[in-house]
Amino acid sequence: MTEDRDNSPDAMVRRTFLKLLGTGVGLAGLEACTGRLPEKIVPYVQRPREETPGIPRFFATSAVLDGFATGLVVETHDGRPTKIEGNPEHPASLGAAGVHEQALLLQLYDPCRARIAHRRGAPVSFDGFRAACQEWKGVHFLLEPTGSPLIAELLSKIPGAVVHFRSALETRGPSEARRRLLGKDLVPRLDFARARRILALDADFLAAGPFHLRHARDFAATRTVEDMSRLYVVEPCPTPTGLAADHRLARRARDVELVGRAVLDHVLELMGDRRGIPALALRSEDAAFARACARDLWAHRGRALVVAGERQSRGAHAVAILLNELLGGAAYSESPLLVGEPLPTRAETLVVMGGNPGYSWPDFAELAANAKTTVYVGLYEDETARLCDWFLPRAHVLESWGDARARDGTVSTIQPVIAPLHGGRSAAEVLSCFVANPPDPASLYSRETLARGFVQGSALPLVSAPVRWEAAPALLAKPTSSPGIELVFAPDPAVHDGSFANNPWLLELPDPTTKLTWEKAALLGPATARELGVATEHVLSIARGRESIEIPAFVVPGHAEGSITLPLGYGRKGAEKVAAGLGVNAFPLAGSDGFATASRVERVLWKNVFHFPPRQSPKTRRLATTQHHDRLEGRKIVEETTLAQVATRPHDEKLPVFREGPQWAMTIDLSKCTGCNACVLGCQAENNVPVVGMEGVLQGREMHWLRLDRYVSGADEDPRFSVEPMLCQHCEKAPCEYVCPVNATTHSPDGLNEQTYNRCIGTRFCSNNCPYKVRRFNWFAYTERWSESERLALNPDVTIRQRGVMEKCTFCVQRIREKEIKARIEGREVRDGEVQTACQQACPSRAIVFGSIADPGSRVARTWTDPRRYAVLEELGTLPRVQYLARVRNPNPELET
Amino acid sequence: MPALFTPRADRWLRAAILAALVFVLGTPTLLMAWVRTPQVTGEHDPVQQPVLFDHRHHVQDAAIECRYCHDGADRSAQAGIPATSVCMGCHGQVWNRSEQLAPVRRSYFEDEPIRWNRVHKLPDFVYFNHAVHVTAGVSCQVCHGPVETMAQVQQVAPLTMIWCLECHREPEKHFAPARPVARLTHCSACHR
Repeated sequence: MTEDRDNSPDAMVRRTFLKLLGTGVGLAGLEACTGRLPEKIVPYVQRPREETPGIPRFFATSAVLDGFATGLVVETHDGRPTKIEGNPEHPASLGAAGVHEQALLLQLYDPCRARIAHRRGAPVSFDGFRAACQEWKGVHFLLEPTGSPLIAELLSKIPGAVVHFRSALETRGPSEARRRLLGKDLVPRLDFARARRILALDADFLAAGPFHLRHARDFAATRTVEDMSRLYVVEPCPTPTGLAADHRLARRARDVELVGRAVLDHVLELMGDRRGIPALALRSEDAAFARACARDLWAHRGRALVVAGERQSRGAHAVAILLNELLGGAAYSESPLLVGEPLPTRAETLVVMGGNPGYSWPDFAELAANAKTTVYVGLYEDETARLCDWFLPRAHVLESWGDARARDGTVSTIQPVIAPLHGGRSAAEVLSCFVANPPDPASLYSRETLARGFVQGSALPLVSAPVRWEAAPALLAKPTSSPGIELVFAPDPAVHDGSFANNPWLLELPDPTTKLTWEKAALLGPATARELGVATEHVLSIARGRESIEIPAFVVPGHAEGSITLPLGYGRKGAEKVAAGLGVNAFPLAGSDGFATASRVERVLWKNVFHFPPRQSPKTRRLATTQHHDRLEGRKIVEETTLAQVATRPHDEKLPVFREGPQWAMTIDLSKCTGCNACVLGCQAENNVPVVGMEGVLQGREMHWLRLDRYVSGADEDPRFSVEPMLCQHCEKAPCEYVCPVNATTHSPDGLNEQTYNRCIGTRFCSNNCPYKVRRFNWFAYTERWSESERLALNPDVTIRQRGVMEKCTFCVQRIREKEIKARIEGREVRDGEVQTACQQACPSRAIVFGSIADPGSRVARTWTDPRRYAVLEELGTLPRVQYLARVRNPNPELET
Repeated sequence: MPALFTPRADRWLRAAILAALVFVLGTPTLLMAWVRTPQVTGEHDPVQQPVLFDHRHHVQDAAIECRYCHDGADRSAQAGIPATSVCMGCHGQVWNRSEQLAPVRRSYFEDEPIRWNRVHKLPDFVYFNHAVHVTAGVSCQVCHGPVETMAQVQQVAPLTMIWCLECHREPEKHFAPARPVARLTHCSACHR
């Protein structure tokens, strides 16, 4: 999997094949001459007290992304981590785990991780580094943002240390607006559980950024028919939050502020007190939106919330702060992150820990070149390692002791679940070299705290933050609308800022909105594409100032016109082999805010000297998307309704009766699903689902058992999006079962559609007969391409599928059987909610309910009589065990046309 | 014109078709029968171990219960092979100079595990759970045979799928169950 992404794991010429066939046939007879070679059993010499082979153990720890912690529970089998779940008690997780948290597992086992400490290529020992660094004075430390009390203590003990924090995705707008309006860079505490009217100004709070798992849970809890929230989104490029919106306005990133400003104007008007803020005239179409939105927010003051995205300007953030102040949505606490000095322009001795500034910070090369001594502590020998003298391999977060703070300030513990695989050192260990009497990170917290994963009651208190209205008019100065096409920079949902660029799970994860895998593209709206004369897969040349990149275009319905979204995190040139050659680096084009104006955008043409006149067909680059058609064509595959119409839907009073015993079933609430992909990755990690590579996806061979179908309805310019998780429906009358010639797919008495791999001969009849297209065929033995270390991530409770067999969702049968066995040993029935499928467990918004419908009191049984219930392709009579609850939209009657 | 084929040709043709038919049907039948023979399933084949461990002595003479060493049997999917420290719990005191136990002592003091040879092997796609069987009252001997009489442990059951199913279909014939036996004959009971 690491070496070659192309689809030739078993590449073999015909002649070699015949040779091997002949040899095989010849040697086959010899096999009978020997007995079986005995397999070895290697028990412990001294078994750890808590360890019983065959029984997994769970450890609470934390993942840190952009400086903020998320509580995790890591499952280990025989000492090797195999699955990452959320910590149900941790405020940032509540049991859910996002894609990046889950993908840490594969990152831990990544064979490309650095193993050797060296100084300009000459191997050194860690003790050698410790001895050398004692001489250094006035060291500049460049760290990733963190709130860790341990790191803070260590840094305070280093004499003469100059500390800088840098995140590749940090923009100046938010902090500047907060400092000028609130007097201090406080952190907004967003309470989506209370909010019933939400305006998101280019803020993807449901699927990105710190605390998004908690936001998604809180928001989903308000998507009930009884007391439903309403979400307005203004954004340039569709995001999961935009897809979940009741009203979505696609506007250029620089125009988002204008819409927010108009809403603020209307709210001030409704208040009858302008508070010294001048009125602003606005385009008519947005005026209607702004007026309706403002009235709605104002009517729900006290339960209204405005959120501005990180890449937005200080003006947009000022609008959000002022609106929250007026609407009662404001709540702030001190920032849990440590504050350092501004970024250095010169440093004699520079110690860089993670963050890979050599890739994401164009000025870093000069800084490193001018320094006398540079040290890089990193997971990989990446771009930064090449610019530094010293390199120390860093311990993975799953191998380290430490701590961190969540967005709300909760102190979260980090404990190792495996000894460092490559002898790496954590940031705390490296900092300890500079300190005379460093604290022992392993004994910072009590055993109880470590078992819980966080320090109870350590969340930071809310602080009162009076708004300085006199500072507002200056911040709200009308932004200059510069002509030309705007570039919007988006941290990629898969590789984030490039730190996950070598993670095959994430690379193959279809983008929530475009369904692109492996390589991402420049996203643009249909009208802009027409104007530029480009289509999907045409290569664009985009320049800003002196920098320019070439990147294929991808036309996205619902993308703001006059705007191009560029993914960050690709075009890596480090030692990461999987990431090499994927996409281009857009960081050099990025401005200090998350958007900028392009100086030139053009289509790249072939310059073929052998043709005269030159062939003017554009250069193209193939893009691997997993969904090629996004229109429903009038079919009722996804059902949607509005709050007013829910009650009129017909519904069943009685539950269907199948057989004796538990009858497993699942319900997916489309009102809650945001399409964030956490379930897809949870399924992949739990069920050993292989990665097929970009070529594989191009040939339609992706293996995800659970996919998220995204549909578009309405006009291309202002479409409505729907997301529907699609997995094996476990039909009671399953079309796949009738056609299997070898009985490899059968029906179990508890209602599972079973797939027995050792019986399957790979006719693929079942896949052809499946109306839901959820069966996946193993064209190659993909798992055999995994390195030895990556295989440690495999779940021992699930069979690794061989080449030539069909596979599909099993309802996590291994988890069902485990709980059944447990219940049987304890002499009881399986309790409702005891069995959790992997997708259900990962889901931040709790859209998935699983259980037995034979028990009328179970949560899943109650959803089966919900008026929103429907089955996909119900008319075929397949009687699926997966039911959906129609998505309820809550549109503003004022905006309904 | 003389006949192109002699009358005998017909007979040859029939014989050839019959032979082909026998070959086509017989080969798989024979192969399927063959894989079920003890030679392939590995029954009654005492397995040499790196330590001359005698179950007769430990079970009959010393009256040690199976689960003293195989302590996962009633809690885990795997019964488990004891760690060297379990051996040394007793053999640090008794027979602690025995020549036969030298590999055990070496393992313990050099922190090098003993590499035992596997006797009972199920395919990787079969998920058998010891705990649920042991707690249901299935004694170890039902599947493993009279291990207490074996100098070297050997497999006594074929461990084929039909052998599992026979018991799950008619458990009364094989042992007296402590609780009603689950008639688990669907695929995902074992194949996951």
